Amino acid sequence: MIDSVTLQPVFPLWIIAVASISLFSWLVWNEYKRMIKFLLWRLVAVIIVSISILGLILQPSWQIESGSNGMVLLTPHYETKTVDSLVIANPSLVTVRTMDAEPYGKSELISSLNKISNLRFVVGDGLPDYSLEVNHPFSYLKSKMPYGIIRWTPPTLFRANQQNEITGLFYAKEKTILKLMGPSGVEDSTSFSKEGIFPFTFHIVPKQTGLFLYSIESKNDSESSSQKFPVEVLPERKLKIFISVKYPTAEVRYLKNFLAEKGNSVIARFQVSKNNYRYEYSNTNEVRINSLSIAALKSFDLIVVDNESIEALSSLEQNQLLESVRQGLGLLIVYNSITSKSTNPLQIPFKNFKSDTARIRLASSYFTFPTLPATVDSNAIESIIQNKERILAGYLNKGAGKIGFQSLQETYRLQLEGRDTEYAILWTPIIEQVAKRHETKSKIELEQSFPIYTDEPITVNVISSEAAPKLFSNSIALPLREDVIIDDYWHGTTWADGIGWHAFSIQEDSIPKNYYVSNRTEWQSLRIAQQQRANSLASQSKKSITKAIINTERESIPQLLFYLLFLISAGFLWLVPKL
Amino acid sequence: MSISSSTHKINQLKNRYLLFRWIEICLLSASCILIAWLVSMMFTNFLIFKLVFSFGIGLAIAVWRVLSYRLFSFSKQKFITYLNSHYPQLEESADLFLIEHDSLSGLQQLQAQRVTQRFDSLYPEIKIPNAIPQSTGIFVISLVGYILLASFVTPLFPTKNKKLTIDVSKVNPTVEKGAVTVNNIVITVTPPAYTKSRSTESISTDIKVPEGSNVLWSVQFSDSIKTANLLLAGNDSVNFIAKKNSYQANLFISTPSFYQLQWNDGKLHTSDYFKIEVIKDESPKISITSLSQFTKVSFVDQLTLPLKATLSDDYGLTNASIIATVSKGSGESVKFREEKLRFENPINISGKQVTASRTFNVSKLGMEPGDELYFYVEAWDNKTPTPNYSRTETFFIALQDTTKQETVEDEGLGVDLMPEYFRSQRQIIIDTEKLLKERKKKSVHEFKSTSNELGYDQKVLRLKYGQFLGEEFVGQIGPASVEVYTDERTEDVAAKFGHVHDKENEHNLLADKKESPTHSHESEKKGEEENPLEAFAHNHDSGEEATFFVQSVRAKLKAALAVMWDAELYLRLYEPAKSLPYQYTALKLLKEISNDSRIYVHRTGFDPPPLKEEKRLTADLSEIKNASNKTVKAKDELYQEIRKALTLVELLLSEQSNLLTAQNKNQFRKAAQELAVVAVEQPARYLRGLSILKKLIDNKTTKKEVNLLLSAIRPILSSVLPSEPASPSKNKITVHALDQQFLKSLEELKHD
Repeated sequence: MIDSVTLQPVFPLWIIAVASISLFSWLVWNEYKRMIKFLLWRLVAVIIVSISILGLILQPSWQIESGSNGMVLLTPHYETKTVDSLVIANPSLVTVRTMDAEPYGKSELISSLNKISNLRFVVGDGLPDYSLEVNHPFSYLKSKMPYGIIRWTPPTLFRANQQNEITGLFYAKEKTILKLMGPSGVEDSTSFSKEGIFPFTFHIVPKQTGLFLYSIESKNDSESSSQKFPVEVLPERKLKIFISVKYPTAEVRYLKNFLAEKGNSVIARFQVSKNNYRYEYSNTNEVRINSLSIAALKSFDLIVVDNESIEALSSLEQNQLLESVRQGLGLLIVYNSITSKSTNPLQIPFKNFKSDTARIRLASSYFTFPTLPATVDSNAIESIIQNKERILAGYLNKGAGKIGFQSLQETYRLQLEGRDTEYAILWTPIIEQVAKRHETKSKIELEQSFPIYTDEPITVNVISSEAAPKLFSNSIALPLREDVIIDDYWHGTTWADGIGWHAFSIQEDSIPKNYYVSNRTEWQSLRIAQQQRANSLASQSKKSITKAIINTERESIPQLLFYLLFLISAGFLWLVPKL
Repeated sequence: MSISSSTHKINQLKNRYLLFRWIEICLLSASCILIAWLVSMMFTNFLIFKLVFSFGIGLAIAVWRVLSYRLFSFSKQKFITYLNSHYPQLEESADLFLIEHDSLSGLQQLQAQRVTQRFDSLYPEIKIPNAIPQSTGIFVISLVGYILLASFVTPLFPTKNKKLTIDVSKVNPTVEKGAVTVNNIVITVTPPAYTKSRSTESISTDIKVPEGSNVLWSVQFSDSIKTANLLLAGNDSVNFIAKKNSYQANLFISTPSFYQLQWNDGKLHTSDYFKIEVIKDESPKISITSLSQFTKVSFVDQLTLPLKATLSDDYGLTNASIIATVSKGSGESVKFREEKLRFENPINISGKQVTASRTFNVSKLGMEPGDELYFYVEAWDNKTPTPNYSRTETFFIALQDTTKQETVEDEGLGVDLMPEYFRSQRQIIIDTEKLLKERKKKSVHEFKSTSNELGYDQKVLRLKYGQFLGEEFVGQIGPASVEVYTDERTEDVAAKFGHVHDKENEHNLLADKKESPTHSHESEKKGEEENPLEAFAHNHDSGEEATFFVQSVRAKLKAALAVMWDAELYLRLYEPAKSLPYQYTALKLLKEISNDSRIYVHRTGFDPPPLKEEKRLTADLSEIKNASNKTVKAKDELYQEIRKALTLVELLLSEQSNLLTAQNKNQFRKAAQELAVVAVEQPARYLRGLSILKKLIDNKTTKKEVNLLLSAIRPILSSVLPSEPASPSKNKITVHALDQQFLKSLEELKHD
């Protein structure tokens, strides 16, 4: 049954219309002028000629009902009942199954997912990520959620001596104990008392930089398992910090000592008189900075100032500092008091707040600090430390840089009490998030999320400003193709050949991108859950599943027909004068 | 009933007899086994010995009983004899049952017939001879006795366990054939004499010894060797000395450590690491059970308080005593007296655990209401050369003063109820002025009497202040010129800012001043002339120097006392008017003295250099320069080699690599050097790690073992690394042209 006719014109339609009308008019006019017999027949022949020429140029096609109603692909853990219902509703469906799926009736075994055509349904665990785009669209009927870890969210970066949080979801079959094992043994653990999906959070504090394999051990009454996950602890990059305050307070002094002891280069400047300063250099050479300028501040990653110093800056220095921040410098303002509404562009907008103390949690304990009786008066502030009531430390994006603030007072008391760890937990995120970031010319990203298995395509994306970046996978050069739309964005694909750590490296950057290829027996629950989510996202609406599917296909009208019509009618026009 | 049935019954009876005898013998034998087992337990712990001994006795008894009953040769005939002798009804004819009926004569048949009938009637009454009740009784008694006593019996002569030898396979490294190996090793630990412990032989190469023990290693090698050493962590190695068949090394051990054996047979062989753990001699433990830390006693209560202390030590106590301090008085006049008291029971403290007691008799200690007793118990153990010492917390016993007068200062009362210890100088002045005013109203006698009384008060006041100065006798207070104290320029500045003792704790010195009554200022001056060094020496023992006042204050106080003396003189002479100027001077001096004391703290502060008047307020900052200070504060990372080794272990484990390169081994060697330092402190925790590293470094592990060893060393290396506070680090960002374009557009939007 023909539903509609569609055209595939060789030239733009308006040209065809103009040309065909002109041609038709000329032909009609020509035949009429010839003054010979069979005028009516000749006009009919002219119409046929015109139609056949249009047919050749427009290439019309029509939609007809096709013989096959599509394919249903059975993947592992599919539910037989679901497939039964599907087959009953659509008797003409062709059933195929993957190598690892259980046999079903007369289902055919397919050796490659690339060989699938006219895919209508996917039942079971679903298609792997890499074949989703190829076989799209289809309707997905997922299998039962597997028991085990079904969501795994590690931090973007693991940092040494810091508490790194891993969150996830665990689908417990029964009472289960989950342990996170590190190089020194059990690092964290949790337990689930009954069947169900539970969130979990693990904390790890790596003591050493490098590549490590941690593992998750789950144990219940019937079984126990262990699965490894990669932890890459990156080495620290030391900061270059300039502290400029009007007078040395205990807060600033302890902060300076903390930063210096951690190996950062710190220059502290305390004002003695109008033009005289006392300089303290830690882990750096002596450099005098009498006035703040873009050139002087260029080498620093972070400037720590108190609010009084900011106000005391000349307008030239303010502009220079603001421009430095726009170029990427971090500016951290340590507030000793709240000045009345300031027009200084470097100041953070504050409004009054009822409380002048704040209770926050550091490590496992709560601490109460005196704080400014104020809260930020801007929605653009990103929070670093906050409690239920307000943001206590945060930053404001300014160009490529940030202006941060810290309103907690007397934090040095932590150090006096010997709570060095808590002091570090308080200040480290503030310093890290506000400070200038280390700029690299290239970046390597993996499209696939953990876990990665052998013999699966790994898509790697590279951002590089080089004309032709060279990417190496375990020292083997990998061809890259540049993105069609985005400039300096490159893509490549590789296949991991063995379990363990592998690395991508780029010629322009000395730091490789490490990734871990897991054993296929591990992390199956996570892989299936991820696959199910990806397939559900890629799936079409399921409303039409129960209805019978009418498969249609588009069929072109044979060009030969138009050609013959043209020949016959043109031949008739040629023959008429000879009759 | 026929004869044959009687014969059958006799058979039954005989079997029953045998059964009873066997039961009886078994019971008796079992009883003997239990008793013998119990007895053997007193002598030995050896199971085999006990089994042989007890079952041997049991068997002997059984054999004896069997032989005595002749059970194996027991025949029907014997049983018939028994029946004939014990049952006269059978008329000695029971043996007829055993003879064939056909072979009996007629008379015998007749008799047999008769006896058979009698036997049948007698059969149920026949008693089989046995001693089963007695045997059962003996067995029950033995069993009960065994159950009751078995738990308490300890060997009277404990036999030495079979000498356990050390497994030398741990000592011998896996060496090639033909190399000299350790055949036997004996480690003898001799604890210090004061522990009264015997020498023991260690059953393991890892030894745990009491602090200060002498350890002797005696090693036998399979063949002759050149040298052998005992390598000790953190110490010099000890050479083994050849003695008879073995090599011996001796060492005095007081700190935990670890060691290796090393011998040279042309090639150097080194054993694994073995730990030396030291059992510290604990300090005595003391607990006071009878008294709470704060005890209040009222004077009406029983004034004896029992003190009961439990003292214990791991090796033995040698001495213990109670240090009691009685505090008398209150406020400024509090005095302390310290006494060392012995326990009453037992008088001499010795042994590992002692419960000692003493009764405090509050009145005997000279305590009065309001006084307090502070005491603690101290004890020493028998450790040599320096005994361990420990003491308890201080305990308090307060004798409550129920009659204490509460002083009240209430503005509304208008009356000074403060106790009048002595009249102050101001009060004497007021009274003198009042006396002068009322002179006309008073009689001469009354006037003189009041003046004399005031003179007495003045004397009391003078003596009181004299005590502060360390002077008791009137004669010591010589005349002093007022100029001495009025001239500020003559003040000894060095003395003001110098080292001055007990300036604030003046009242403690009251009693001490009496010790140097004859010390005079003159003699001191003389002494100074004689000994020029004294000016430069820090002399605490001088009565003059020991006062809590600096020199200028001393001079003022002396002058005040001299003036008081004059004031008293005129009061005694009934001339109060003349006395008044002296009194005023005395009051002024006393005020100055008190002010001088107050500025003590102030004067110890920063003494700024004098300002140049010509530069003041000129706003000249030309000479003020930027100051700078440069420091390198970054701390080096601890255990760098262990960190590298841990990273390497992780890499090797992730690669499942069984092959260790020379570079890897070198890294493990460096890590082992760092780990050895840690292992000296905590050998129990880290020595295993050192052994594993040694195995990895030496080429003595199979490929299969490498992975196991790497997995085993991983947690040990990781546990060495200390937890450190977080450190801020620079984040990474990739700059893309689009980012910059985005920021630029954003800025433009803002400006628009």
